[in-house]
Amino acid sequence: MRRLVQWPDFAAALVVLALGVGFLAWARTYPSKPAAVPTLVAWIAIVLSLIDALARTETPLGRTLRRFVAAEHLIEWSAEGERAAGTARIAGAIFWVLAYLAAVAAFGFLAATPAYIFLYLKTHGGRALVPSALAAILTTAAVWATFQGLFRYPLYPGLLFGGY
Amino acid sequence: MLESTLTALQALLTPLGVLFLVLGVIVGLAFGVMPGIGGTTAIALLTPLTFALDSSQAMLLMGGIMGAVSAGGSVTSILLNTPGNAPNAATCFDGYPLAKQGKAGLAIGAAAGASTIGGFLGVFTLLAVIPVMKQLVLAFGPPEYFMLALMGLCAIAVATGGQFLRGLSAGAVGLMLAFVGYDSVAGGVRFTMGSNYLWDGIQLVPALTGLFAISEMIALSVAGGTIAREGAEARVTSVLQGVWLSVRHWKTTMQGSVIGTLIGAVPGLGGTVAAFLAYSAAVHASKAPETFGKGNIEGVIGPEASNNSKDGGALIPTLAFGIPGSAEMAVFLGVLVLHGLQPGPMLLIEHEGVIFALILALLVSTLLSNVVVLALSRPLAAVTRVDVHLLVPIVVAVALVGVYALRETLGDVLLAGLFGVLGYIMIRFGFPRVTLVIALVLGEIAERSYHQSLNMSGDDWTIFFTRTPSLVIFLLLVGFLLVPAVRALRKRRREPAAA
Repeated sequence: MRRLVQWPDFAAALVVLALGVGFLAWARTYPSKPAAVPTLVAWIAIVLSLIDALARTETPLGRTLRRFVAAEHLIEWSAEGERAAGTARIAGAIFWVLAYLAAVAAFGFLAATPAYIFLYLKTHGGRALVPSALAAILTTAAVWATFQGLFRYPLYPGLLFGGY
Repeated sequence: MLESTLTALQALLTPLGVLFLVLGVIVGLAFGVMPGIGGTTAIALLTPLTFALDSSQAMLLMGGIMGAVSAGGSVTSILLNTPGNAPNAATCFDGYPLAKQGKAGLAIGAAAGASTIGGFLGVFTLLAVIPVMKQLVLAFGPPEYFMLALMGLCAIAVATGGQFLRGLSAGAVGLMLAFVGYDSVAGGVRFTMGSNYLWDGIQLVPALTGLFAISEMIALSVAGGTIAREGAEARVTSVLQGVWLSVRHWKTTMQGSVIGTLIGAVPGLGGTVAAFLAYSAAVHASKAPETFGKGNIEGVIGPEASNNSKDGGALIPTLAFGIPGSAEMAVFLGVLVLHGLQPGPMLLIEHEGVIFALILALLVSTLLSNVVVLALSRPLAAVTRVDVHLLVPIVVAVALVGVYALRETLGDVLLAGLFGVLGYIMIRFGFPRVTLVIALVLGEIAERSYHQSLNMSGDDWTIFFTRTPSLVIFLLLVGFLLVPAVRALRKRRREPAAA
């Protein structure tokens, strides 16, 4: 039996719809002048997402709309093999970025960068201990020498070490 | 003019003149290659150094930086999908797919060729319009800015190929994000959720770094392997062929150069808008728009020609009126004032030699930096053969340190990370990131110009159509939107005929 909707794409359209509705409600809390253009944009987003959602349904209207608004060709790129990846691998890749951000915020660049590179290479990248450690040390040294040493940009020290 | 050119040549052809120009080129390339840091930072960083130099030497240093930054930025855009500077982001769309196909050398060659030609055309345009600068800049008011911004936003529909609905949706989200922060029209803050950091709005550099660098690193981390796919040609043999392609596709090169020069000359719009418009125009003009985003060399040539030609254009209002065309020019304005060179029509009369030194430096550095990029293309392209798991943490770390260095704010780092995740989600669900970026760049300009225009006219919206420059831009915009429809109609007519 064919499904009535293409779920991932349909859900994505609903997320944009929710964003549009939320933004519209938010815009209306401001006086008329600063709210004018945001309100218009919110309405445009709502209409677009509704058409998008309709186009993701397996109905005559959905199929007709899809022909006009969702062709095969997309001016974007994506890493080969990335489409077939499982949820766990995607979650892992996002986790590493978020973990690095959290570590930078807490401990600063000089502590977080070598730890992040080493742990990423060792666990996610499947590299040996020595190359992972070398990459971590060399990158951190290069970052420090370029930004702090050469250009005199202070590196963020981390909330635990006096950063704000 | 001849006397000034000779004076400028005299300043350049001294050991110190050559030294400062080469130093400018090296600094420009280095800052261009580093994601998140661009020409604005490079000029700002070296401004105190110019205090000890005479005006001509300072102009040689600055011209060297300006001419070289975009050449450096194009290399990382092509090889790592990480724009060195915001205007290089458009180069990623086709430069990176080319690198993935093992054609990094071809893309780098085409980028170098197009940006050299674009840079030269931009400078020659600057020379040509110097006598009529005043009339040109004064012709643009808020209605014209609004129409230009609208034209940029409508380019969304073109730039997203078949996925135009999702492109427009992403554009709408981009506009919502552009409204965050201080509202320059009503004078209050909006949509900040009580965060002081968001008062300045969504910062473009962290957003771009996140959307293009971090999100791509997430995608690579998921995919594994190397950037250039297995089976792709391993050698970088097509660099000169790439240069030749920028000449063979002379229409795209010229189109990008003209767009770069014109948009660069409009204060407030800047190189990013110019590069995206040049990309859209290349897609628009192509007989095979569906090949863009998959490694069409014209998708590299258009934005790169625009990237270097915009410098010549941006100098027009900066030198003639002291109105900077971009953030880079705003910092450069400080250098001019520091050296007692008061921008305005009299600048060219009183300090013609110094200005010609700047123009000469811009020309030479454009050529020099691209020659350096070409010479280094082989080792640089080797990056695409490295295991992505080695690249990912290094690029993420360097990009985020670069983002922090720009304003020394932790918020920028976190914003870049969040935009990275957003960018990846957009990739997964087929929302083009380019449209969000265009909207983010143009949102504030469009809203401000809209309100200013209505204030000027007493809420009479016909002001957008009664002023000649505004009407001309509007007609261009309509033509721009009609081209795909005309092309589709032609295709439909041809198909039955062929059948």
